[in-house]
Amino acid sequence: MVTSLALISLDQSGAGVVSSARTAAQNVVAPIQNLADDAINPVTNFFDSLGRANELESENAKLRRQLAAAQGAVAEGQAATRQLEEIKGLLDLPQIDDYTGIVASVVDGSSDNYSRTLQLDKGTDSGIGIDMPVVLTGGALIGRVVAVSKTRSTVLRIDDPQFGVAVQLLQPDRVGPTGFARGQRSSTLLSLSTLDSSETLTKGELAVTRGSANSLFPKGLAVGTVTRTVDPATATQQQAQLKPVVDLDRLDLVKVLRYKPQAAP
Amino acid sequence: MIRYLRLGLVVITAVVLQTTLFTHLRIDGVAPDVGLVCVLAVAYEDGPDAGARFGFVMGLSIDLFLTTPLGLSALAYALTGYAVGLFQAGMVRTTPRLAPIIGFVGGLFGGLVFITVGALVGQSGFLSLDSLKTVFIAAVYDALIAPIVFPVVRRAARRPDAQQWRVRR
Repeated sequence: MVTSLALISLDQSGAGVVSSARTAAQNVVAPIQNLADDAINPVTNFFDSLGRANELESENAKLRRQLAAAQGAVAEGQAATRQLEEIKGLLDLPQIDDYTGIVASVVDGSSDNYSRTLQLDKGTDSGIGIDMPVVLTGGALIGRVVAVSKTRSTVLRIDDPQFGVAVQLLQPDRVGPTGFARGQRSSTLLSLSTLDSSETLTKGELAVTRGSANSLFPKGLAVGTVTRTVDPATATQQQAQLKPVVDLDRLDLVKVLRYKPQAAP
Repeated sequence: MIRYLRLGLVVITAVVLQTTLFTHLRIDGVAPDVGLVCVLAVAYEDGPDAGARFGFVMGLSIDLFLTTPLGLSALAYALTGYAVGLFQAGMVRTTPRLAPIIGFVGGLFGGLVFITVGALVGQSGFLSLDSLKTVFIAAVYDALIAPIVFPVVRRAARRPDAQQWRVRR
């Protein structure tokens, strides 16, 4: 019991020896995990696709209806695209292609019930390192690398309670307020707190990473959209819930960005 | 020596199953605690001291693959192994039918220790209704896999002298 408590304290203090021990253990077991995944994943994918057959059918019908509506909205979309480009110019937002990255497959989910993580099939051998941002092609933030072995890596999802990121709201015609988004244990939505009480948050607004000089994430990665506003706990801030722009439970290929903060965090 | 090798194999197998297969086989988003069920089986076979020692090693091995603090599972598993070992030592006779009950009660105890100590060391949201629900579902899942895990792990944990004693009887 004493040893366990000592180890917990050691880990909490951020001792490098704990991280080294984790990496060493993961390097040893990774080849067996890869073999197990090769055997398990085709079977689980098959059953997953069977389970989704009905869902896909109704989704197909829904998409046909949406297509008809979308054709009418193309002109409106083009206008919105122009507006987005203007906002990007205003914020000097980079494109996802500005960063080199490593494409990896999601092979497993969380190993325990108290964290939300993903396991990727690539590690340090492919150039992945700790704290690198993980995105979906197109620029939606998924999380950051928290553990890495030679052939596998673990990603902390944006909806994990241990995850937090500074964000900027994009509002029509202007740059919105800044705030902080973090995961919640009781929900897959992110809680958003803004620092400015005078700003009003509206449903549907997109939050992107703020990307300050010492941030682990580059500027402009989509984090989530405002789904509902919450009565603020204090008069000095606004609160809202953000829905991640991607379904974090159904990911296949992701991109790990070789991004380094301009200043050390 | 052979017994330790068998138990080492149990640890590696539990870690691999927990980090691969059971990340896909979730009930209501909750996975079973394969390592903890193995600890319960060893404690049931070999008593409190062996349960606590094996619990510590198993928990520490699992901790190396989690994002929660290193030592948290080790503490929860060791305490659970010791408690189940004490319970077993007080029993007049053992029966395989107890495996699901021990799986459920041990899963509940281990899960509660895990979230309580986790909250005490600063893990956000560990003491919440949502976490309690997760502990309960995981304990039910542990009870379901216990009848499969117990015979295998108890065989691996059996001491050579204990085997001879059983044969003589």
